Amino acid sequence: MKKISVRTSDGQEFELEENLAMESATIKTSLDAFSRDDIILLPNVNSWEMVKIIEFFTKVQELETKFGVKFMEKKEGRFLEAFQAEFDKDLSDDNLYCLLWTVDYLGIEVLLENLCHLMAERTKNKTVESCRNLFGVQHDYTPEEEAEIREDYSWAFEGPEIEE
Amino acid sequence: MGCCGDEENDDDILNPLSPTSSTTTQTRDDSSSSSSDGHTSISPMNSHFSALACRDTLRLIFEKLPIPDLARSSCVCRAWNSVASDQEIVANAFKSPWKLKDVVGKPASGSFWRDNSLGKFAISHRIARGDSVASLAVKYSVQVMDIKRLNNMMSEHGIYSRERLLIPISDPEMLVGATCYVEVDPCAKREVAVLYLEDGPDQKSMSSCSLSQKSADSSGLNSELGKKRVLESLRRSMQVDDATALYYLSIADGDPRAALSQFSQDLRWETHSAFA
Repeated sequence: MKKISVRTSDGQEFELEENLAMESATIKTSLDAFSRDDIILLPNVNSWEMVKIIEFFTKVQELETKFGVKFMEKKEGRFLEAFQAEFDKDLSDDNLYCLLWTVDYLGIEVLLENLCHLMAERTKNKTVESCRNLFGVQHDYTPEEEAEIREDYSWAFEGPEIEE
Repeated sequence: MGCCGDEENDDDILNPLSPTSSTTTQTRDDSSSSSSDGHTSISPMNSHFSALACRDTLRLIFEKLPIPDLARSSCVCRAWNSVASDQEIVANAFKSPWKLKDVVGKPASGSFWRDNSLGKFAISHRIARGDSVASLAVKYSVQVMDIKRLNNMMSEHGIYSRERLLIPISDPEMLVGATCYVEVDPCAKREVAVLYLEDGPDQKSMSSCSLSQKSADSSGLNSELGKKRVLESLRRSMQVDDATALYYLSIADGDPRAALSQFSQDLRWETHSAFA
């Protein structure tokens, strides 16, 4: 199996098996445009993110062997549980967030779907302020707009389950 | 707190992305370790992705949120609001706990979507000879009182003055794969998501041809009776007369959702030109 070399933003190089590298739409486009012997530069990807992505691929292969299903081709529920158990505990909110956007940039659909699921889990039952902190979002409502929209959705703020 | 990568956008694209703390903007040479513990992580504040512009990814996340969380997301900022209030996402959040196939119709107010408890749904039962509230209660495994309450009936004798009764749903399994129509029921005096049972108990008013056509199309829209029902429900949702509803349905090629969206577009146009 041919190996594809990639170099991340901080100069580290990684080798990926070709079929796995092709899971990334971005890498695939580069490969189609250039020779496979060239190193692909990924200036938007950090090395720790690359490590995580490789970890993901390794995990998928393990699970595929274990369950006998091609996970890359379908979005299996069992995979989701196993994935969440493995990945969720390691990633801080910030890291999850950054990994999410990197995977989005790389265009790895299956991983993106799973990360979004993790992110959604972390967003549940959070207050508006902690969501803003979590995503680093700028608060761009005027006070009037904010009051109006809070009024519209006042029912969503009732209930004891909201955690800080 | 600034937006992601706002001021630092230009610089970051030129320089390699390195983890920094949120208080400094200098890159560190030893930052290329592949560990991902907290203090060497990249803060979203320093990320040079224009994250908020990525509506598609936000959509992927919001698709998985339940209704109250979607509502809270709308309050976070404008960009989030536009994605979280997207009709498709809201409708999906409404449908997903019950595994509904589709909800057709536009409710008069957005607050319809806030509550997707079982009480929001009802079966439409066309009154036939010999029906009584008690017999319907037995047939659908519900309480007489619940039927009466749902239809605002003072006495059980009023049943024959009505075309149909709404029946509360006892078994959520009925909703799986079903299509519901948002209607303002004149008797219940509120908006309800109505389920028309093509198969099952309500067979007396059906012709045999519409039953056999059901196999291809789960909502029976191919049959004449099905079409009539869609028209009726559309008429109720839009609160217009028959002819108008028929017009919109025909220009939308029989697709009730397209008809409704065309109708609301026209309404908006009318409102705007009134001010022009």
